[in-house]
Parts: sequence; structure tokens; C-alpha cells
Amino acid sequence: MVKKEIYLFGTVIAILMFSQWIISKTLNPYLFMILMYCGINIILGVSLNIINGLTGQFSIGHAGFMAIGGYVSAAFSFYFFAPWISAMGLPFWLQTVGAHFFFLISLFLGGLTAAGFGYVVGLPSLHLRGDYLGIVTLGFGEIIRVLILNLDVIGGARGFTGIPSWSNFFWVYFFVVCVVLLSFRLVRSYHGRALLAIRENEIAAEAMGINITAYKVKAFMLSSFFAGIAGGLFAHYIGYLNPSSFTFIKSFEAIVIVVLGGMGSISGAVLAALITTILPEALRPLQEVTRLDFRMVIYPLLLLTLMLTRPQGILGTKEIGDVLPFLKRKSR
Amino acid sequence: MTSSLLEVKGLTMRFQGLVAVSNFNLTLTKNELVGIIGPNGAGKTTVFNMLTGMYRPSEGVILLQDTPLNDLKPHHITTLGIARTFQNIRLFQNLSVLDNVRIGHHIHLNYGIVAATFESFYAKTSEQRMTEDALQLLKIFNLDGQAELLAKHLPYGAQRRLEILRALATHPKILLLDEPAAGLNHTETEALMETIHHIRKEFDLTILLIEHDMKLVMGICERLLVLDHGETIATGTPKEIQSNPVCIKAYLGEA
Repeated sequence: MVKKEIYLFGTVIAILMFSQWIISKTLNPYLFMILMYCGINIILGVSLNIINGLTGQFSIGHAGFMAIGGYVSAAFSFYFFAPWISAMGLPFWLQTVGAHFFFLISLFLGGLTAAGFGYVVGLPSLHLRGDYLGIVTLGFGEIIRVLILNLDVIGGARGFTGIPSWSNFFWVYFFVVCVVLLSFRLVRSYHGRALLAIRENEIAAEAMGINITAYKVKAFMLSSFFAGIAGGLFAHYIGYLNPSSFTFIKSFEAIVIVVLGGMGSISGAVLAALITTILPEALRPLQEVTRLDFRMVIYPLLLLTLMLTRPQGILGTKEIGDVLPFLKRKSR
Repeated sequence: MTSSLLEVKGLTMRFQGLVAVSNFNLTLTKNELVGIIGPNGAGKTTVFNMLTGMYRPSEGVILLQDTPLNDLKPHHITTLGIARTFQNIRLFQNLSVLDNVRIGHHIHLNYGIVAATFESFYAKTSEQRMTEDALQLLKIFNLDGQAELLAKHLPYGAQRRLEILRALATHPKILLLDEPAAGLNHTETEALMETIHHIRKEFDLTILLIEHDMKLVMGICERLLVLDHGETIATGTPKEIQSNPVCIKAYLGEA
């Protein structure tokens, strides 16, 4: 069992490292950017799916958690880790290793801080349902944004500049694999079934001995942890953070991913994240024809058509393995 | 330890001005099958809600083998051994029949989230053992053929059975059935009586049930409580109740 896990992770890491090498040699910066955003959006969508899709709680504050993770990890890298590495006067190869090592640590610090805030937001809002919870989380996201706007240490309204560019293909897709694998395995375990039970019927779930308060908080923390990680990856990729990147529009982008993919469908969220990231870029050549930027007219129209013809989302509550059986390894 | 499994004394529930249940007393000994009957709005379901922790009683004590249950949360009470079904079916509609039963096993699993993430040996074996257990239960209720079906796609009678089955999966000491025969036809009710008898023997259960179907109540209950307007107006064996003029009046009105 342990051996199998080591093989699995070993293979994943090997594949990712190899792709990293290939990609750094071949891909142009524009396509690379799209690829990175795809990864970051997958992490955002799949993590939000844990609250909105699996647990059935309506959260519109995902950008807030992402902002916390981004700013905290960026601050650690900028104020501590990057100066340490350069002060130690290491040979070049050790500096690279050190950068990767400290990058992982600052990502985790960002993720854990976001998870802590997830706990703080989750706890009082547990007795709220549906729209009411949505409003509380929306408010939370805005509070975070305004708070950052007024914190001068991390740049305030000017934005946070000089964040070391440590993010790369490997780390982004490593966390993509982590969040997808975790979600799939969660759903297969009794913990995940408890979340599904809460979504289906809270009263019955409680009568089955499920501590719904504890599970909702856990779901919130898990989800915000990965949102924080996504924020950290984003920050260290762009090298610059601005509070205006984390408005409620960003939260809605994450919700669009979850709804488009199908509430509760993990592979659906992955698919929808790819679509919502690639589609606006793919529509760019259209500008040549129309002369005006009609992308943000066509893109929502496409989404609208999709939702009207398939209101349950691309995959509904199914997974890709249910639709394309040859992708399925083994059930249960 | 006293011989009684559940002891309820002076249970009262007030919703602001309205007294839903007043001074309800009940003692359940092991392996008993007791019925609560009464007209609509008599407070029967309120009693269930208090026993399972969904309402906090205004007055009175509930003791399960000398453990007071008054201030416990519903999920905690389930772990202590009281499981229930609902008057209006509350299944996990969009989950499979098997998953419904597996969720019933929730309290008997204890591997952590980390173990779940890495699918540890312990997590895998406990999942397997539990799934076998769940399939076994499905077989008893003749639902093993529909294990992969979504719960909402089951016919009504099967949904009722699945709900009892799901409550059984928690391995309770006491099973509370809230109108198990509601909406069932004659043959289904008879099959249900059969099943209740069977599971009581098989799982060594104590059963408390609310029912309107007199045939079922009189047929299987050993003892009856009659509620009207929150008051317990009579207790006794089905025979005694049938001839009790107070009960007849409560149900049929004055002659």
C-alpha cells in the first residue's frame, strides 16, 4: 500500500519534471502563461468544489482566501526567504534548490493562513444557509481586499512588487495533482460521503451521527487551504500582486468553473477550468475580424448557451469516468 | 445497571405558548416493541424529536442506560445508540442506495482524513468490511439488486425500507420508526410487519414506533401509548387500548 503510493507520487513527479524540461525549452511565453493560468484555475475550481459542490454550501469568498494565501506567501518569500538565500552566498545550484525548498514552505504558510481564516469564517456562518452564507462569504472577501488595500507593508494600493519568480510548471501542476487526487479520494472515503450527506439532507445526516458543524468547518478549511496555495502560485508567477486582482469577480470566476463543470463533479471542475481559461484566449484572433474587442460579449454568450442547454453543468454530478468508461480504472 | 434501557420522565415541550407534549413518561426494557398512537398533532413526532436531540425538552429527563441525553446534539445521541427514520422520507436522494447505507455506517469508521488521502491499508480494509456489511443489510431488505441505483429512483415502498435500513446501519440499541407504513398498501404493510419482526430478532433491537395503521400497531406492538393534545391518555396492551373508552373517544369522537 505504502509502496504503491510512493510509486504513484514518484511517477507523477518524474512526469512533471520531464514536462517542465520540455516546456521550458519549447513553449513560448504566451502559451506558457495560459498553461499556468489553467493550472491555477483548476486548483481554484476543484478546491471551491469541495465547499460548493460536495458539501452544498454556497461560498462566494474564494478570492479572499486566494488573496490571503498569495499575500502571506509572497510576504514570507520577499521579506525572509529571498534575502536569506542571497545572504548565505551559496553556489548557484544550491540557490536554486534553496529557492524551491523555501517556495514550498511559503506556499504552505500561505495555505495554512488561508485555512485558518477558513476556520474563522466557517465557524460563525455555519447556521446560515444558501444565500445568507453567500452574503457573509462575499463580505469576508471584500473585507480582506480592503484590509490589504490599507496595509502598506505589502504594498497597499500600489501593489506588492518584487516577489521572487519561483513559480513554475512543476509546482503548479504538482498542486493540481494534489488537489484533484485528494478530492477523488475524499469522495471515496467516509469523510467525503459525510460531506455529500450534508449536501443532500442536513437533518438526516445529523441523524446518521455525522457532526455537521465539524464537517462543514473541515470542508471550509480544506477548500481555503488550496485557494491559498493557488494564490501563492499566482503571486510567485506574476511577481506582482494587486488587491484589484482579488475582487468578487475573481470569486465569481471560481463559481462559474464549479457550476459550469457540474456541482460536485471533480473532473467537471477541471474541464470547466480549462474551458474558462482557454476560451477567452482562443477568441482573441476574432478581434482581427471584428476590429473591436467582442470577446467579453461572445464568451458570456457561449457560457449562457451552455447553461441553458445543460443547466446541470457539463458533467452534472457525474465524473469523467462515468461518461467515458475507458478512462475509469476501478470503482470502489 | 437498571434493567430499563431507556427511561423518560416528565418530558414536556413548549413552543412559546403552545404545549406540544406534556409530562410524557416512558420506560423501555430491552427487546421491547412499543407503539405510540394518537390523532394528528398529538405530539408523537415531537417526542421522537426530543429523544433524538433535535428539540431540547423544556422539562424532564431522558436517560439511556443512565446517561442523560437532554443536552446532547443529535449526532452524539446516534453514536450512543438511538437511530430513527422520518415521517416524510429523508433519504440522500442523489446518492446511490449503497452509499445511503454506507453513510449509515459513518459512526463505525474512524480512520482520519490523512489516511483517506493516502488510502492507507487500514482505511481500505475498514471500507471493504463496511461495504460488505452494507451489502449484507441490503440483502435482508431485498434491495441488493438496486444497490447502484440512485435513492430517488427507487419506488416509494423501497424508499421506506431503505430508510429503515439506513437507520439499522448505525447498529442502534433503540430504533425509532416514525410512521413506517405511511403510504404503503396492504401487502407492503404486511411485508413490513414481517421485516420489523425479523430485524428485531436478528439485531436484538428495541423498537419504538409511531403509526396510524391500526392493523400494524395492534398486530406487532406489545405495549401502546396513546397521545392526544400532548397528554398521554392511556397506556396498555393493544387489547386494553382497543376497549378503552377514552381512546375510542379521542380517535372517533363521542358517540
